[in-house]
Amino acid sequence: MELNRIIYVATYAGKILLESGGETYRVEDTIGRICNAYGIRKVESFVVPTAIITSAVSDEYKSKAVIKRIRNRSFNLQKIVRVNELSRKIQSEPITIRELYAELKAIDQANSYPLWLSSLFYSLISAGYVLFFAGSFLEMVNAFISATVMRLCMYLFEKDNYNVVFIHVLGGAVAAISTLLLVYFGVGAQSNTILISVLMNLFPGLILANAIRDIMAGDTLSGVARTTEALLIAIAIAAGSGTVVALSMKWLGSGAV
Amino acid sequence: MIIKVIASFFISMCFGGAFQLRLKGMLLSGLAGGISWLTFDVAKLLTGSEFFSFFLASCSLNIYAEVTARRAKMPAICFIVPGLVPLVPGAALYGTMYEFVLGRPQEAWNSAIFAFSTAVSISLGFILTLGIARMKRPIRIPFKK
Repeated sequence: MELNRIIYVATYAGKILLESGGETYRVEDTIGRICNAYGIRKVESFVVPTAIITSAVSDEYKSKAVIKRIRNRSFNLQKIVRVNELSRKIQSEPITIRELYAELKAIDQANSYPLWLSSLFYSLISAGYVLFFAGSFLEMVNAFISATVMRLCMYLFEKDNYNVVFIHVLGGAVAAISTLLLVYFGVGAQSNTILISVLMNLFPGLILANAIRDIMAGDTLSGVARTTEALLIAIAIAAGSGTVVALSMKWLGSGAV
Repeated sequence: MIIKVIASFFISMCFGGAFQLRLKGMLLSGLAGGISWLTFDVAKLLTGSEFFSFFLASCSLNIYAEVTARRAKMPAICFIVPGLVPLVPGAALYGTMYEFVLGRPQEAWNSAIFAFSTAVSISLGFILTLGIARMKRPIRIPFKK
């Protein structure tokens, strides 16, 4: 009974990490660390970006396995920080498995930043990029507005768990429409700079960084899967924004972009 | 140059915020972005080679991240991801798409190859530093009964 509960809780911790964007080796180590802390010596876990399989063997050679599928992901580094702290804490000061489960649940359901604040961050990133590319103040305003519009549109679809590639095609298209329209009405001049700045905050940096770290840690399977995902997202962004740019050239003349 | 360093600090800080880090994490990740772009700029001034500078910038970013991760007791990924953002070859990636739309595949491939080489330089930096810092996985403490 206790074995069931322990590996369930350990896999739950792994699920939080993987959903928030943790690396594969971190997930496997956390599961192993939690199981070891509660006295299960023989535990193996197999983690790929879409699933976790944990199997543990008790002292009487009874084996138990838990499979968790990861369906939707929301990158949240704060959850990784907190689960990491917790899994290290239980080694020095033991708590019961029920308390651990309660704490994990609290981490999983902890309030993230409200929508306005996180979209404000994304808009500020875009405005910062215009500054980075030495753009003017009006271009910063344009990038700020376009990024806000794009984020809010994407949020509507993310909420309902639409496909990641589809969301990024949509995000790229909305960003291009909003940028080109604002440029058309005279807010900023360099539509290329603005569009780069806006699209930059869709770039799958977290997935790519994880992919390299996974491959370096020996998890080639997850590494390749994540690289492919990042590539698909990049193509999706290019497809979405490229279609709009091409259409705008056709309708507004090639001087418009 | 100073403006670019400050801008990359700001961008990385906001990226940390967008990934839900709290204030301390945001400031540290902003510092990561500032350091990576500063290294890139200085290296480019000294060597003149773009790809080598990307490589050095990625190295310094990873070293900063690993050191800070140990001191602040936060996973290194929290600093690497926001710090990587100023180095991303956004203009080249956009150029690939834009030239394709204009119907000039030759220029598009040039941009794509530039973006790809940059990505390779950055990952070489990752590989070198990670190889030294944690080639082997963290040792699991064996359970004693």
